[in-house]
Amino acid sequence: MSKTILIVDDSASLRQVVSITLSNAGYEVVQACDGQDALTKLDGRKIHLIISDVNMPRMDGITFLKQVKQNPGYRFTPVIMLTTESAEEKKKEGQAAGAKAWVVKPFQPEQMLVAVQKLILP
Amino acid sequence: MTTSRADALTVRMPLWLLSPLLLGAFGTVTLLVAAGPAPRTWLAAVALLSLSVVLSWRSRRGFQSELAAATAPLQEALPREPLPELAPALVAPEPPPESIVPPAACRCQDTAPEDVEARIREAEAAVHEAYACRFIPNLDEHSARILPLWAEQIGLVQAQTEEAITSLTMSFTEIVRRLTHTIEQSQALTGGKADERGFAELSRGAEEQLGEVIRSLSAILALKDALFESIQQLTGFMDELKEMAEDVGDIADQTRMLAFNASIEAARAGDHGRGFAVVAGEVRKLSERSGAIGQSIHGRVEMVNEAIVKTVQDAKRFVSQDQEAIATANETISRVIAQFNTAALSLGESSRMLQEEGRVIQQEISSLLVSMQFQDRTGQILSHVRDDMRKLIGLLEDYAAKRLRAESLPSIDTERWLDELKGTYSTHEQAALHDEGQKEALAADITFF
Repeated sequence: MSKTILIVDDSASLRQVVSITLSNAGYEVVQACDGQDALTKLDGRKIHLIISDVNMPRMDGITFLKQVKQNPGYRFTPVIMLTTESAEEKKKEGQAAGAKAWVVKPFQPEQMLVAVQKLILP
Repeated sequence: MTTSRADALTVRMPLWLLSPLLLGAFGTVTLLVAAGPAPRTWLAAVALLSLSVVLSWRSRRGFQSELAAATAPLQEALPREPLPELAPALVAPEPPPESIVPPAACRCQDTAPEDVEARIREAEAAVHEAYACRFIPNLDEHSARILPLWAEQIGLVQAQTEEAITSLTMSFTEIVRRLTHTIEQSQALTGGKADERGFAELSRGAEEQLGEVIRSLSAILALKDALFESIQQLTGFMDELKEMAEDVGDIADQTRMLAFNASIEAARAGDHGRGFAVVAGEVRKLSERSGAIGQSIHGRVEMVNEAIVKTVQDAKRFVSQDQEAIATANETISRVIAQFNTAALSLGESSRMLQEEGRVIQQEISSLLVSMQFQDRTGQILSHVRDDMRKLIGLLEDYAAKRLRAESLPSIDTERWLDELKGTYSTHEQAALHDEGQKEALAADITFF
């Protein structure tokens, strides 16, 4: 049984790139275009890891992260933030909201896979 | 035209000119209240009042002459013909000097609304003529028309690149999927071991099995040989039978001779030999029958012999064909095994090359995946530019509305604008560009919390 990873980003091409990287390594990938869309996709499905962008319309990544942490079914799902933001304040914000890692775009596929393997739920 | 010019330049008496008068009046009242009505106080009050009247009269005269002097060049500058259209220069405008900022009491309030625009145009034209090197007269309107177009075109660029890159990454996904699948299948076909040992074992196994087949064929040949030997023995028996048949014939002949002799003796014996003659006759018949049987045995034996000989000849021919066939089969098998070994060697080589290629391709895919993330960043940067353009368009529209309402137009706070713009940045390249040279070191790619 392959593990499922949710990728949340408003850029379709970036979702596609993450999807290739992860599915090549044997993971199943679910895509969402922003925070609200991601919350609907989280409905009951078993998710082993979430990768989320920060700057998105409708609902941004930090808000989404906070919502996820309040959801009993997904409170312990590890979340990796994947974003162009590299400022320390933003990273601290992410850390405070409960993210497990902060990856600055553009990401290296091997490094992303290492992080995923390290953090994904068993 | 002259009267309207004069009207345009008339000002209402500003309040501050009356201040000496007011002060005088105030002073007078205070004095009267404080000191009480007395001839001396009255005298002082009158003197104070007259002084203030004189002062305010003089300052009014002074102001009027100053105003006349100041507006004299403007009066002369009012156009008699329409001004030529200026080419819009892309020069960053300096903030307007103090004297051009419209006065707090806007003149539009005592002008008919339909004349306001015309008056504004005239005054702007006059100002421009007087300070021609400082202003582009219609930069606001010009920008308000150009900026929306620019913003829309940036929107077009965003949409097109998003579409193109998404489609590109979809195709790329497909290619990668097929490539990975093909490489996996090739590796599966070679049994997963891409080394020579695997193939050598395989070819040895094949050789053994084919050797088994050869041995079985040879065994069959050996059986055939045994069969032929048995048939040869039969031929020997046939010769014996022939001899026995000849013996029978001889016996038949001899018996006939005997019978003949016996009948002669019987004839010589006369009547006493009649019984003997009958016996001799029977013996003669017997001999004839034996002779016939002997002949037919001989004939049959001949036939069987011929058949056997023919069979043995045929069989011998087939045996030699079989041996040839087996020899050919052996040769063919050896050749096939040799070819198989060569093919296995080159297959092992190809498999190794394929694995190596696969590794190189993986690296290329990896670097392509990094490159393909550019569109996400450029999309963000373009969004910020577009938003800022829209913000400026909004501001220009706001200013246009303010003009119609006769409100004064504050100058744009560029520093604050730039700070707000900087706040919208989401990529470090934008921030670095904004600060021009403050290239902060790029943060580590992954931070674990």
